[in-house]
This record gives sequence, C-alpha cells and structure tokens, in this order.
Amino acid sequence: MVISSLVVETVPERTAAAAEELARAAGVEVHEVSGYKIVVTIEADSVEASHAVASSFIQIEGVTNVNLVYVNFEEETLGSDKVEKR
Amino acid sequence: MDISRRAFVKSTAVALASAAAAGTMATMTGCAGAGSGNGGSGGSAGTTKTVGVCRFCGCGCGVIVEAKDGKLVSVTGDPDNGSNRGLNCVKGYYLASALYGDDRLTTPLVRDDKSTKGTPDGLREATWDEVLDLVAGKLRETWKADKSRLAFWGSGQQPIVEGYCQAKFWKAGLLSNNIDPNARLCMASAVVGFMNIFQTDEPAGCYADIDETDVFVTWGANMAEAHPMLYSRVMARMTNGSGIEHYDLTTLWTRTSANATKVLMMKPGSDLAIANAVANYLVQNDLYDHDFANDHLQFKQGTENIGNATEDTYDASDIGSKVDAVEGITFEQYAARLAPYTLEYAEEISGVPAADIEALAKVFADKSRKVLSLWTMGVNQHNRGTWMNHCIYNIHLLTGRYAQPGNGAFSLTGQPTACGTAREVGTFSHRLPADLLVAQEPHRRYTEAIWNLPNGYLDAIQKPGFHTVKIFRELSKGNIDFLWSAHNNWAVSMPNLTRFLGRGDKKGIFDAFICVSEVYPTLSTQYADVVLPAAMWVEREGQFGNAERRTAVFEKAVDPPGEAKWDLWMLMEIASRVLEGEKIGGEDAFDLLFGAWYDKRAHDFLGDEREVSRAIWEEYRTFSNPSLNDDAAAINKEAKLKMENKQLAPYDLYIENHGLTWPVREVDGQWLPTKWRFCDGKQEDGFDEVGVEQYGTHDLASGVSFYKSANGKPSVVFRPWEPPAELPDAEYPFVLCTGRLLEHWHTGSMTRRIAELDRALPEALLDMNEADCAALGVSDGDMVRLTSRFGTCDIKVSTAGRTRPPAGLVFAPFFAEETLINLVVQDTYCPLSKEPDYKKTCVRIEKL
Repeated sequence: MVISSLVVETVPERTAAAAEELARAAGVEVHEVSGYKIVVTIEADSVEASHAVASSFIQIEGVTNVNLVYVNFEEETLGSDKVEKR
Repeated sequence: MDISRRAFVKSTAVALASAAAAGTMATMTGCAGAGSGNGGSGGSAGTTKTVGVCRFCGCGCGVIVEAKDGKLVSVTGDPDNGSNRGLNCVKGYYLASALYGDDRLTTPLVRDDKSTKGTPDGLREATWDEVLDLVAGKLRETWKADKSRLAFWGSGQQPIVEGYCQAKFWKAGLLSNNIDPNARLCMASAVVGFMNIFQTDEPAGCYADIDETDVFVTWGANMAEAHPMLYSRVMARMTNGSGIEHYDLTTLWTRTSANATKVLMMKPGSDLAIANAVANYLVQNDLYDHDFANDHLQFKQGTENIGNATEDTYDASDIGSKVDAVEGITFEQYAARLAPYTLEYAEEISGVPAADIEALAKVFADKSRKVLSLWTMGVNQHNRGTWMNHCIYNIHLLTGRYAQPGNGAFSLTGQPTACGTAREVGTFSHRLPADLLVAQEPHRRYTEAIWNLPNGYLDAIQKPGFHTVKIFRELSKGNIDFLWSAHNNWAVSMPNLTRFLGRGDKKGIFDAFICVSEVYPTLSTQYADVVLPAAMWVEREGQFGNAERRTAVFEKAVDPPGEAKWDLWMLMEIASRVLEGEKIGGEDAFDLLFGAWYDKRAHDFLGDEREVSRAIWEEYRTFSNPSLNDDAAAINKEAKLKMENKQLAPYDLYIENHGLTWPVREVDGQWLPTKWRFCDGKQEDGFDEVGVEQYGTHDLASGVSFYKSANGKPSVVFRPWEPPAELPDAEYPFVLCTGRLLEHWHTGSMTRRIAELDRALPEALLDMNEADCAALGVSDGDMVRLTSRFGTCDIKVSTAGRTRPPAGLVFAPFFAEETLINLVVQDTYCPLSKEPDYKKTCVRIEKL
C-alpha cells in the first residue's frame, strides 16, 4: 500500500464540482476544501498506481494544478513484512 | 499494511497536505531537527528524517526524506524551502525509485578489449585499487606527454563541493583548462548573455516573480513538461490573479501553449526578428522608459554576419575570433539599427501576424502591468543563442522591467545544480570560481591567493581550454588520449553522434582511454574503458544551486549500494596518485590542494561527510568573502573585483535554513538572503540593501542600481536577425526540433530505470503535422527514416503526440538511446557561447 497526499488547485467556480469528481475516483478521499484548494489522499497498491491516479486529476474540468505533498512507499522499499505496526 | 499503521500514515498524510493548503505546513513536517548537522532527526517508527532537494530538474524543490533500515520510506515537500514551499510535482513519487533500479552500478568495471566498445559487452568487474591505478596511470601518462590531449567533462548533476574540487584539481593540479560541464549544452548562451550585458552571471529575479507578475511571456520554453513545478506556479497565478495573461512564442504547439492567452507560432530562428520588432515599436512610438534608459543603460553593437560554427576551424577563423567584439553607440544609432524591423518585416520573417507582434509590444509598453519573460532551450540552443538572450533583455531594459518584483527576464535552467556547480563554481574551460576568468590577470592572482598557490602559478592556464563541442570534435579526430566524464551521458546527448560515436570516418573514440563515473549503465558506459560506480543523490551529502540563486544542502540519508562510492573519494584517490611526487612552490602538490580535508596516506577523509563538505565549502566561500583571506582582500580592493557581491554564508546556515538565495548578507549577526538582486529595499524583505549600499547608488530610476555592471550600466546590444545554419530545401525539406518531455529526464539514464515512467512514455515518437503525413503517405505508427546532412535514424511517426508541429516542422524527444535522434542532429553552435543548436536541423523523411 502506498499512501500519498496532495493539494489539488482549481479555478474557484469549479472547486466544489472538482472535489465531487475527485471523491469518486478509486482510492481517493477528499478531506478538506480550503478556498480553491482541495486536500486529497490516494491509497493505491504501488507508486505507479498512485502516480497514475494523481496524473489523471489534471483531466478533471477546473483542475489547474496537482501538487504532491507527501508519499509513503515504505512497503515498496522495505517489503510489507518489515513495516512496523504502531 | 497493518490497519493501525495505515491509519497513522494516512493521518500524517492528511495533516501535512491540509497544512500545506493553509500555508502552515512548517510546523507539521516533524523535521525541526533535520538539518541539525547530526545526520537527520528521529522520525516515526525508528526512521530518520533528513533535508533534501529533489533530484530531477533545475527547479530545486526541497524535500524531507525519511529513511529506515537503509532505505527511503517517504518523501515530503519541504515547507521551509523557499523555492517550492512544501509542494512538489508528481515526479516526486519516483524520487526513491530512482535509487533502486535493478541495474545500479555497484562494482568498478574495466574493459580489456577495445574492440568491444560500442556494445553492451566487454566490461568485467574489478577492484577499486585496480581501476584507480589504471585511471590515474593513464591520466598521468597523458598529462606528462601532452596535456592538450586530456579532458574532463563534468555535469550539472554534480554537487557543488564535488565540482569545486574537480575544477581545482584540473586547473591548479594539472594546469589544464580542458574541463567543461554539460551545462555547455543547455545554458551557455544564457551565461554569455548575462556576462555581456550585466558583467555578472546571475538572474536578478527569483521564482517569487511568478506570483507577482501580470503577464507571462514564454520564449521557446515548454515549461509544462520541462519545469512542471514552476509551471504550476504560473497556472496558479493565471487562475487566481485578475486579468493575468500569457503570451507563448513557440515554433510548435506544446502543453505550455494549451493554457496561453495568445500563442505566437513562429518560424524557426525568427525570434530575433520578432524581438527586434518589439524593441523597434517601443522606440519608434516613444513607449520606452526614458528615466530608466538615462540612469541605467548604455548602447552597443557587435560583430555581425558571423556565419555558422559548423566547421572545426570556425573558432580560429577570422570571423570566429571576432564574434565577441562590441563597440559603444548612441541611443539614436541603436534606434537606427532597429528601424528596419517593422512589424511587417518581422511578420515576413516569422510568419507571426504583425498585429500579434504589435499586441506583444503593447504589453511591454503598458507600465500599469508587470511583465515576466521566461525562456529555456528554444532560446539557448540556437545558432544565435547569445544574441537572442540579448534581444530579450533589450526589451526589458528599454521598458524598465528588470530586477523588480514581478518585472523580470528569467532564463530557466535545466539540470539540478547547473547554476551551482557549473556556473557558480566555474567548471567551464574559461572560468575560475565565482565568475572569475582564466584570461584575466587579477582573477588568477585572486584565485592563487585563496588556493595558496605561488604568485603567477596560474598564468599557465590563462588561455581557455577546449569547450564541450571542441572536446568531442578533437576526440573524434584522435586528438584526445584521456577523457573522464562524470554524471552525463554524452553518447546520447551530444549532437552529431554519427561523428562522435565513430559511425562515420572519424574513429578517435575507439582509441582514447575513456573513464565514466555513473550510477547506471548508459550508452556512454558502452564506450568506457573504465566505469566508476558512484553514490547517487542522498547516498552522500551534496549541495545544490538552483536557477534562482538558491543554495541548498541535501543531507546523506542512506548508504550507496554495493561498492559504489562518493565521487569526491574517487577524485581524491585519483588526484593523489596522479600528483604523487609533484610539488607546488616546494610543497607536496596534493597536500597543498586537498590536504585540508583528505589524508592521502590513510586513503580517507579527515572527518565525516558533513565535516568534509563544510571544510571545502568554507574554502570555496572565501571567493565571495574576501575578508576571510588577507591576500585575497588586498587583491579584491586593488583590482576592484567586488567579490563580496556573490557573498555566500557559512555552510551550516544552508542546512538550518533549508536553502538561502545569494548574496547572503550578515546583518546584525543574522545572515539574510537576497531575492531581488540590484533592487533597493530592506535586506530583511529580500531586497539588495547591503549590495546597493556598498557599491551602488540609491534613488535611481525604478529603485534599482546595477552596481556590478561596467559604469553601473547594463548594455543594450543591437543584435540583428540572421538565419538558421540550415534552411529547408528540396533535398532536406523539413526542420527537426528536439527536446524533453515530462516523464524522462534528458537522456533517460535515471528515469528509464523507473518502470512506471518508462511505461508512461516508452519510446520516442516523431511528432508530425497531419498534412505532412498525408503528403508523404505515412500514418501514425509507421516507421520512417530521418536523414540530415549529418546522419540518419529510424523513428515511429505520431500525429497525436505531446506536441503539434506546424507543416514543415517535426519534433522528437532525445531520451531514447534506441532511437538516438542525435545521430541526425546538426553539429553547429552559437559562435559566442559554443552551445549547440539542437532545434533546427534540416531533414528528409522517408517511409520505411
């Protein structure tokens, strides 16, 4: 599992609609809308799948920028058996 | 992932992104201790966090790197790095993957049989002792026999202290100027432009100009693919500002054109005519800034009708030796030179409607709005690249739009630390550190003082050495016996590879001894006699100088794999062998140059990577802090070098501050960066208060003072339009333009190891216009043969690619070694900067 978070920027009049469309994507969760910025997380099986989902956001009407803030790929680099529980 | 671990990671992700959106992320990254000088701070679940800078491009975005058990486990945008403020582009997903490709070089390699060169075979594993002795032996043998026959080709991928030591070894240790960086291929025209106009190699502005301008003008720049983070910032300004416009001047439609307010589609090489027409319009209609011109500008013209540097004999030819000459002229004479460049004449040359050129001119004339020009390789990789840099600055200077927030002209850079390592350190064949030139006697004296060399010692290198193209032209002719390249892939990136890879009549590449320092196998390693496996990115500590004068440190986070080593260790070991028994001023040569941080007898550094980096940095920064060396201070004063003008701070401050833009000034015990160079105002607000106070003049027009320029006045130099080196004809009817696309960094030596990126863009396609396809009877997916006067290659056609060329022009990216588009690309360069023109090769296209 790769977990990442992003700030998706939009044209202000399309923010709400873009947030709705983002929320419909598999593995994507919208956590907050702050002005024209939308805070989302992506949970996907791999870095590749995460990148593919994030890269698709730019196709959503009204989305102007897709900014990656955080990506955790510990299972990919360490192996899932070496990731400690918390 | 365990559910509680998953919940924890996700809550971290949400909190960070939420804080980034609110601009309060700095308190959230949990890296307050990162950069403490202790190799990172503790993170969650037994991890460490260190400060880093993204590996991929010249934007220089800060990242916080989290590692565990010797592997990277997460990357976070660094909110404390002023270049990106916590946000990265989606390439950040792959920062760790770049380290973990299956075929990382982990063992030194040697080629015993030269007949295997150019094939994937023939390299065997070796010990470090064997390869170090072999490389040093060949270098020493060549050096002693004829030092014109050795060369080093460096890189904008190398961190600052590595480049600094390499330059010091080559210039002071070997007394050779045959050292040049791959930055010659991407920003040399910008460098020569800066030096000619301002007498200092640096942009006056910074990335924050993007947030403050009203009109963007891109000249030959596909920012959306090549500088995605900065383009995001452009789009944010376009979206959230009021009435923000973007004029895109380009020879083909790109992703950057997609959101532009106006696209000016021009014929290749016609940008000079358009820029001169804009300048002429401003002068003829009295729309230029008289106060700015009176206070700040001088006018010049230079050598013209300079031909093209296609032949090996060009540089030494009558015209080739005069290309740098300029003479002062009056404003009236300048206006008269511009006069032929009417809107209609520019339309005739460029194909851009006169009304569109006039609209662009009116943008510059309207002082109620700020204008920011941005450019990259369309301008720099140009047979008149230096001239075109001049022409853009001419417009900005005439209208008083330079060195002020939101009003600027900014040459975007390509490689990670091309500014830091190539330009600021001076790894060029004509340079010394900090803008100093080998040809200038006071510059050599100043360098000797800091390097503790005998007076006059560097007079032996007062003549510049071989620039990049010259190195490879001489290599191909059998005139180079020893070549060492580090972190570049010349076998893919050089133009005219038909010649340089020995596929024509010149076979020198097979005879020379070639050493390649690399992290992955490349086409260049297939021509290497020795391959040195290197540590990559955060596998060692390094320093990064990005396009906006920001210096940042990336801390070591993990160990390199296998036997891969820090480049600096390789250099010290080779240098100590080559200089064995050599004396400088009666002292052991190696110890004099490098003994402050390396014990050659112990074959080890005098401290850890932090301590070594700090020691080298402190010597390097003496160049911009002459008060640290009495002899240097005296030369600085006597020769009026003004070396404080590029002032760098003590090493640890860069780590604590997550990067600082130079000059960094000590004010009341605090070191403060400069964002807007030459612009008067408070230092604490990012303006150049200390510099203007020390060497400049207050209260000049627009509140700026160009105190580094001769007489305080930058030069507006008239540069005419002259045509491309080749024009389409019946035999070669198409113009081939090459460039970069988002997924692959340059020659793909790293990004093509990332399976995801390789799948996203698996092959190089030839983007063509549909009408051209119809005329040639080719369709998407068809293979065609491209042939130029220089060579030939086969490539697949697409009309649905990333770019949309107009009829008569085709585009191909250059990352794919299986296509090797540079077999076809012409071998000609800007006569002033010696930077190749990759954008305008005439070709014919035949269906296979």
